[in-house]
Amino acid sequence: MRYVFNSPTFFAHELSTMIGGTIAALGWTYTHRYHGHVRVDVIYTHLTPRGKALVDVILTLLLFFPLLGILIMNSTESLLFAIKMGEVMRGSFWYPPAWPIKMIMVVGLSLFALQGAAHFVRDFYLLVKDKPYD
Amino acid sequence: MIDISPEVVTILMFAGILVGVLSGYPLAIPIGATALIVGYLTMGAAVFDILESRLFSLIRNIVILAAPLFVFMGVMLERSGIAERMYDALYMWLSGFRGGLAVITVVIGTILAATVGIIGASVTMLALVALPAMIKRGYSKSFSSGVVCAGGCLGILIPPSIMLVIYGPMAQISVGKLFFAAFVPGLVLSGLYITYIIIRSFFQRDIAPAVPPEERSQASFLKKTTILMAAIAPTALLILSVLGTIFFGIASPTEAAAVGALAATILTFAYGRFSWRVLRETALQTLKITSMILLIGGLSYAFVGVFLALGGGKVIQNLVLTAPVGPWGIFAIIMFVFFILGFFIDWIGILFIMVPIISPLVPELGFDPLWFGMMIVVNLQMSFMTPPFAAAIFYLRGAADPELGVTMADIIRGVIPFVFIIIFALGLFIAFPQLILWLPSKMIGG
Repeated sequence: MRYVFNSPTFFAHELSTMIGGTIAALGWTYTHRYHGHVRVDVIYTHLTPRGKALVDVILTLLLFFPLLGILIMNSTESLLFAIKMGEVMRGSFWYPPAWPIKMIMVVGLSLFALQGAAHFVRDFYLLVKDKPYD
Repeated sequence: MIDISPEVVTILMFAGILVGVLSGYPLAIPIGATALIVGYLTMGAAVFDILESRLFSLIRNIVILAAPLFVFMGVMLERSGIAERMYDALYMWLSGFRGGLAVITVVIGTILAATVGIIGASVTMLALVALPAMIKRGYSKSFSSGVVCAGGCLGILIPPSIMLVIYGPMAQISVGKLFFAAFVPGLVLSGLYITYIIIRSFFQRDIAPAVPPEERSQASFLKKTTILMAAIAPTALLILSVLGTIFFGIASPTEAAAVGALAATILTFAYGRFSWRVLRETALQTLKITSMILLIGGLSYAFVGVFLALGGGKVIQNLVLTAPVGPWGIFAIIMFVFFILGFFIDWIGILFIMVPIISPLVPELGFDPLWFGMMIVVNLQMSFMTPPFAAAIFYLRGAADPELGVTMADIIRGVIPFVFIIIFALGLFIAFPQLILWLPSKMIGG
């Protein structure tokens, strides 16, 4: 293409980075759904299902929710700012608007938090009743 | 906001990660949360911006974008049935020699390494394809499992490897140069493994017996050559075109990866294994691996941002540069730390956190960054194979057919000689750094 039309694909670079970011941000939820995020299971594998649920419940409350909450809050601010100011990306001389990729970030993080909440409820159920939710 | 000295911050942050990560919660979250908590206590709400903007910028990194493409290429090739095909072809040639099947395993490991790039995948593949054949032909269980672990682990070293794709941007070294720095060491290791197998099976007659003539292929020389070519040539062509375009400066690693992903799909099509279901599964598998890597990557990158903003980099720098052991002493300590971390923590986390902190010190210690990077990668490879906490061993145990009766003790006994071979190779690379540095110096562009 580049050689045939003798014009550099000036948008390809930045568009690829946006696609890459989209894959990651929207994939977090899917991966979490199937427990695909790597754990260091040196100790974890030796726990009972209830012990695992206990670790997950505590750390979801202490670490996961605060971290995701802050990230969602901050990326939303950044998105609103981008919309208000008509911010553009400055990675190349294409200058595309910044809000679409920022919105994907907000959506991706929010869905991820939601999936985290779903796991949290299941783990909490298992912890209290000592049997799996489903 | 509390005023804490950078030294205390350093200790707090690393202790936080260590405890958080060992809890078994998905790795990325404790890393990000440690940065959030320590950062909030010391610099207040300013930390939120660092976290969010570093996460946002890492997931859009153009160099790391090569990772999903190489993952796709690897998963697709796995589905193409290429491992079985190569195995069958090489079997015709080498099964008549003592240790022949083990040599085949290492050869396939080396070729697959060039396509797969993740140890889990290549160890699993070899455990399914090569391990049963070896054990059924009377090879010793421990010897065969050692060969599978060693052959499978080559994947993280031999380019195009995902590990190098991540190492590059984190250390601010060209990924292309890293690829070619890894090329010779990868072949050296593979050559050492094969030498070891040949020598050992020559002296120990019963450890890896030759396949009896009646079970060997009776095909003619011409037919055997044709089958071998059909199995190896397309893959070799694929690898050479991906690496060649990088070597001659035609394409960046990311662009080459995209071409490789497409070529792998075409190859699968040519072998008649392509279907929409395969494409869908490959894409989903790639999505999972990619977003897992990029979550750890993004949050680790955020962690490092907070760590450096709080002056942790200076602390490490003082610690390392004023240590009274000389550059080689420091080198040994850094290697040892990476080796131990490799036992417990997933390599993705290690690379994203440790490399940006350590690599600025490398030139000050008087080492070549490229050489240093290679030593770290080979070292991590060793730590994946060193019992008792070795990723490769767990993958092998997970994938090996229970009917083969391979026990943990078998695997551990089998793997140990190969660990010593890697130590020997590390010594070689220290004595002859040209093994690493020669090929990248011949690259065009880069």
